[in-house]
Amino acid sequence: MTPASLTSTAAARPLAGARILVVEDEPFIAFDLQMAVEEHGAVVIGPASTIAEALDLISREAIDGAIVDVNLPDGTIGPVLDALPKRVSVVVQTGVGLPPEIRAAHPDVPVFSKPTAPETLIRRMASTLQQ
Amino acid sequence: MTDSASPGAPGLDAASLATLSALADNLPQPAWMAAPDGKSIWFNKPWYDYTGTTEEQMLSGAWRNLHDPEHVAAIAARWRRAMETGEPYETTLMLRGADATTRPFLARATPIRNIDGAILAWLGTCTDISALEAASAELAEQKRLLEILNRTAASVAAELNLERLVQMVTDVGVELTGAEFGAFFYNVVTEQGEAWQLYTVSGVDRENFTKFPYPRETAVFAPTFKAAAIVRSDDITLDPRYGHNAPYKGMPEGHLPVRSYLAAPVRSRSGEALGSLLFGHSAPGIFTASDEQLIVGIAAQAAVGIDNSRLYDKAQREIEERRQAEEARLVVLRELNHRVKNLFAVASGMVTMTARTSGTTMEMAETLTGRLRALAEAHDLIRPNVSSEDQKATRTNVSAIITRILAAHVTNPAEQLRLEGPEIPVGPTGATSLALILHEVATNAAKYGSLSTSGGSISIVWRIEGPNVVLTWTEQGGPAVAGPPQRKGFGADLARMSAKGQLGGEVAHDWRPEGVQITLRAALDRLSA
Repeated sequence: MTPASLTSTAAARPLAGARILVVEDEPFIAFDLQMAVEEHGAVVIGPASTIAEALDLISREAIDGAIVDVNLPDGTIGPVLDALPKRVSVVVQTGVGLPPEIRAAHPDVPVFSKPTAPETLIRRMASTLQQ
Repeated sequence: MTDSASPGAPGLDAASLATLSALADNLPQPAWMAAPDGKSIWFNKPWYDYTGTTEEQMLSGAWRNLHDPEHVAAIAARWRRAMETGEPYETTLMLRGADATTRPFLARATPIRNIDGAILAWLGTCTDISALEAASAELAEQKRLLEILNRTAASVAAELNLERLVQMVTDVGVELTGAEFGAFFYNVVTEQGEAWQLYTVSGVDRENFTKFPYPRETAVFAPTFKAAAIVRSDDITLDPRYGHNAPYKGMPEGHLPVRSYLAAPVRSRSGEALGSLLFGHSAPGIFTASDEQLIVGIAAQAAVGIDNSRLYDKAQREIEERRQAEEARLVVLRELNHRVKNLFAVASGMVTMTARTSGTTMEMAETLTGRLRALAEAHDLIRPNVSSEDQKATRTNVSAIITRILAAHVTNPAEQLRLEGPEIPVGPTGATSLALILHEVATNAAKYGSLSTSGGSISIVWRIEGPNVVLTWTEQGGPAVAGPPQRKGFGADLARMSAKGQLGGEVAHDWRPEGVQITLRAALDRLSA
């Protein structure tokens, strides 16, 4: 049981060495994302399952990209998006959509509805990644 | 009708005069004759009977005394005009009788002419029209009352606001009966039995009523109270039913001075006594039988109006309830939709994760089926009852989740399981997390722990500690435990992350030789979410 992504070569791995924050409280989805990101040679920061945990990681870790959920047990993702540096490439995955006030503050952030294959999220994030 | 007496009429011979006089004496009403110049020459017997005058008085101009002084000039002028034109004379006038009462009469006089057309004399009659006038006044009054009743009926039919409706009925009652004041009392049941509660007042300030205790079911009030009968009294203070009850023995001091009293029950179509209309006046003998009839009509209209208003309110309430139920249903549907979406997301992650961590397709199928079943069990327990507005239907509790999840792993629950703990509510999100954690822990127990042998058992005990639930899972009777496993399984990671992220707590393992002990700590508020 080896996903095809495992076979990709180093040359085709634009994410190699990138530091990717994962914010997701559903364990299966979080682990799935974590493993998919790691298969691209990137380093997973997290997965954080709460807003508080994500903010703590942002304050301590260097971050290049982020894949985040919207509804977490201690609130919505707004403060995390606000805290991430501008240069960080972010994609949002959500079951309910981005609340209007967060959408207004971050008009350009790509939003995918759950469930979206981790590969799709990673590819979209990689397209704007700056290392 | 002139000042000078004339024994005869020029041109009218004595025989004719005698014939006419004989005829006129037999008329039932007063009559008279006058000369062509208008001078009265003769009055009949009914005239003298009614007016109490004598011939001598009448022929010397006493007619003026029979009229109001202010009318005399107008009557004389009209009479003079008839003399001048020769046209028949007709007018209504008030004539004072022998008993000093004044009554309305229709006065008519026609000229008697000879064959050449010359007027020989005037023959006049006075017809008592007081009965006609009274009938006409009565008719006008009936018309006015009917108009008020019709207006009330139309307004009552159009009015759905109970207070405005009852106020209108009370006002109309006062207007129709000539009462000084009126009130509508509602029937209510109090600790002292049935009583009336003031609803509307007309004619006086509300405090005239509110400063006294409300009427009770006394002999005076009971008939109206019981919706049995209307009570009309010319003087209620003289009524034998009046004044028997403590503490006041009649009306309390300072009460409106009620003598004339009229009270009608207002009864619903279903026969229920809704309340009573009361009218009063400080003078005795004000309310007539016709007032009583009117109030019966008004009370019936009030009853119809109150019934309509209640039906309308009931219909409005039902519409509102239906709207709220529909809204609640939409909320549940949205929640359900959200939950199904989330379920697919979790299942999708579950499939890929299980694929990543399984060695063979068979192993993956087995693991995935177990996890999906745990997810389904949790979902089943928290499935909202869409037809119900009871939000609690979307909640379950800790023991129900444990029982459901372990049922798949335990063959003989009575011997292998011991559950102990308080009833703790669990919401949709909490239930999914707890079910998946318990599923992973139970799967391990079935593979390696006390559920892998026939004699093994598990004790699960939970209690509330401050803001948390602490659940202790203790295995015994299974294979001896050598220590922590060499390779941490994904199931343990999953349990740890669920406990931390979703339940705001933690999972700790104590690898005791006689059996593993797992402590799960979860925040109560997360669990109930």
